[in-house]
Amino acid sequence: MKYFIITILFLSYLLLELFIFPFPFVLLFLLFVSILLEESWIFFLGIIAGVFLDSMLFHPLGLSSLFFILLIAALFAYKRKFQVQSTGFIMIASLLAIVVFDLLFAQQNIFQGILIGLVVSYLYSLVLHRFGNGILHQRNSFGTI
Amino acid sequence: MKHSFLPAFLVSLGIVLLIIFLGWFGFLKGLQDTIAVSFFSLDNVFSSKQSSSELDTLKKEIVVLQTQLAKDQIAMNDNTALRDQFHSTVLPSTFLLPGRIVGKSGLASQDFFIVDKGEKNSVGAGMVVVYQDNLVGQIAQTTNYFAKVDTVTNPDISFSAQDLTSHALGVIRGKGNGQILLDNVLLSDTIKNGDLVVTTGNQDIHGKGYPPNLVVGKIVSIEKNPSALFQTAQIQSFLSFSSLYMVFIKVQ
Repeated sequence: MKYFIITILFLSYLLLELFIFPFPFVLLFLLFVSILLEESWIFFLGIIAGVFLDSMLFHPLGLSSLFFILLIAALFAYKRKFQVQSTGFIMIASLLAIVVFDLLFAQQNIFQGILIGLVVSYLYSLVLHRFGNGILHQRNSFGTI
Repeated sequence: MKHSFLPAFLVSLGIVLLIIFLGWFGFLKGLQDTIAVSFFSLDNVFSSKQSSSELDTLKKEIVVLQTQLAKDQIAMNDNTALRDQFHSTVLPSTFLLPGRIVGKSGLASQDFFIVDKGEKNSVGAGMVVVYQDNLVGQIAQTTNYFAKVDTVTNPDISFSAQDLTSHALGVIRGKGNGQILLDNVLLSDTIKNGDLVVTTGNQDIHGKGYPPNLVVGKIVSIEKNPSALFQTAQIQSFLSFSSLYMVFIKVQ
């Protein structure tokens, strides 16, 4: 069920970013999934997402994937030492990710990105704190909680 | 027991570097094209809905812009007519009231038309209507807000005029269907094709009537019969009544 929901959300964000509104929704989705879970398949999800985005947006193939897996790895590493589910961390991490991603790929207006990123990350942190506890406390594939 | 994400990360990194390497040398162009083509077909589904709404918006914008364009064109025509009239010399501009033609008698005849000025604008029957220095006609009837103008081609119109070259006097009569006749010219007077015909002026003490030197038109044909008392000439106005847009009423 968890994988089904994640797949649906992933595809929705991918389509949303590609066809409806040029905002890095997939990046934020990967970031939020990485905060919520710590599983190896997230890296592969990042690779697939990057390949799709690069193919459609005519970026050099693999660059977005590289950015995504580095971001996921950084989050996993940070997660082991600090509390990453806090609203402050989610918002700062989202903003940093959006700013760097926009600087690298110039996808949209950076201030617009920051503004939307703030709103989305805040909403996400609210949802996470309200509904995410069950998932957070499930043992994951790396053995962490 | 804590598992490390490092192996998964390293494998992913290897895959990504391989993708970048292969992509760099163009080996993954086929894959990239396939993804792009598949997604672009999806894009058509999204964009067709979006474009239909965009099309509606654009259609509405076109209607608004065309309306604006028409308004601008009307304003431009008004401006041109007023400027032209301002440069005319026979009648002072201060005596003239601009009137827009709002109704015409017909495409062919143009023997009268309706202007958007009436008694509320101090317009009365008998007032002369001009365009630049050319005579258009005379106010025949008025209502509060509109007036009927009989053009010089109208059979009800009649006034004295003269050949500008020979000063031969005659009477202008409208013949209907766009025709004007210069009648009652003495046989002894010399008139030629191409001569200009202007009003002689028959204003009364109140200023009503035709002022002098308004251009009626030019002579295009002459009918001279030695046994007749007078000679007649066909006159052609310089104005195209069918394309007139605005005229000026002499209110004083």
